[in-house]
Amino acid sequence: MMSFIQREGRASTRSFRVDRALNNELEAEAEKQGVSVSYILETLVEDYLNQYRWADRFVELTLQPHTLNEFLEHLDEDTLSKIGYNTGSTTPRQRLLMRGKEVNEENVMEIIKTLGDYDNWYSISFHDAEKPYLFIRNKHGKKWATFLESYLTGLYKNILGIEIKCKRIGDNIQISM
Amino acid sequence: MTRSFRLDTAWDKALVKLAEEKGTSVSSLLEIILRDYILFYRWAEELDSLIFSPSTIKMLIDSLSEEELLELSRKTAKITFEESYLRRGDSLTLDTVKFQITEQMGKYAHWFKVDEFNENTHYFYIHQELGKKWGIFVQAYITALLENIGEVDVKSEIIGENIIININKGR
Repeated sequence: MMSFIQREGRASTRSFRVDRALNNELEAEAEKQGVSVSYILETLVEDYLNQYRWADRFVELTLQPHTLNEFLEHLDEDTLSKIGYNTGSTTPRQRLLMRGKEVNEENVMEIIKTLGDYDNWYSISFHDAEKPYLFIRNKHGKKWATFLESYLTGLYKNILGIEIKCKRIGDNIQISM
Repeated sequence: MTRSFRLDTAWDKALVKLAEEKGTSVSSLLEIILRDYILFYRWAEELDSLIFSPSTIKMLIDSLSEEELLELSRKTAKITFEESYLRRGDSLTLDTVKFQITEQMGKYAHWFKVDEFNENTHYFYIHQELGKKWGIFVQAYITALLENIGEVDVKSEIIGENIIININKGR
């Protein structure tokens, strides 16, 4: 089964039949974003192959930020920490196995990246310095940072067998191995 | 009409393989992908929506009391729906709410599965698998969405973990 398909760097031309109304919407969207239709279509195919089709298959739920923030407001930090640790210890492994992928460090890193790039949990940057670290930027406040910190601690410890150190910088998190 | 675009060969090969697995043509698959994007994913991206596994949502929901769920579902229904339809350039009508329930929440956001019936009586039959508390949250959320229109009477009941929402137009 295919997943995490990387760009080859060579392109070919693909044609398809499209409803005129849909095409009009596509052209309007490209104009609104200030990009070409071709760019939107190629990005869309990448997003679909690497994420949307899986979200659909695994019946993953989409929430608007306001709904998440209301949940966070009503939950205390201990509860969020426990939920984060439990789900971080299990769901990434399930996600990989359901995609037919081996549970190894490289693929787990793809899941961590997906949580940022597609699931919109955070923005992430990888720093390959003398002491490598991940930097997680979070825009949902302190309680969400608690959830994320526990989620990633559970993920590293129980899936990869790695103890991590988390350092809170405001609501952002620096993770060192 | 026909549309052409440049596509990285890795993704083109993957698309061909996927279309074969689904027993469809690449052209049909691309049209479906585009439709899903136009109807849902572009708005999800614009609204900074977040994606969760069902088990994570269930754990979050099950940690809240029923009273808390009722309070936050009513509150979020109004705000998130307004944000969605205003962003799309729609107006507040029964059709817009129906689109939100059946397409946005049902088909794409995976909150539940829903069927709409409109013969002698008009109702939505909502099937969900995240437990009693999610049922309570969804029931209150959809009731608040429909009541927001101001021109319908809404009656709902939970049967097992599923929900029936009856609507009566012309209040």
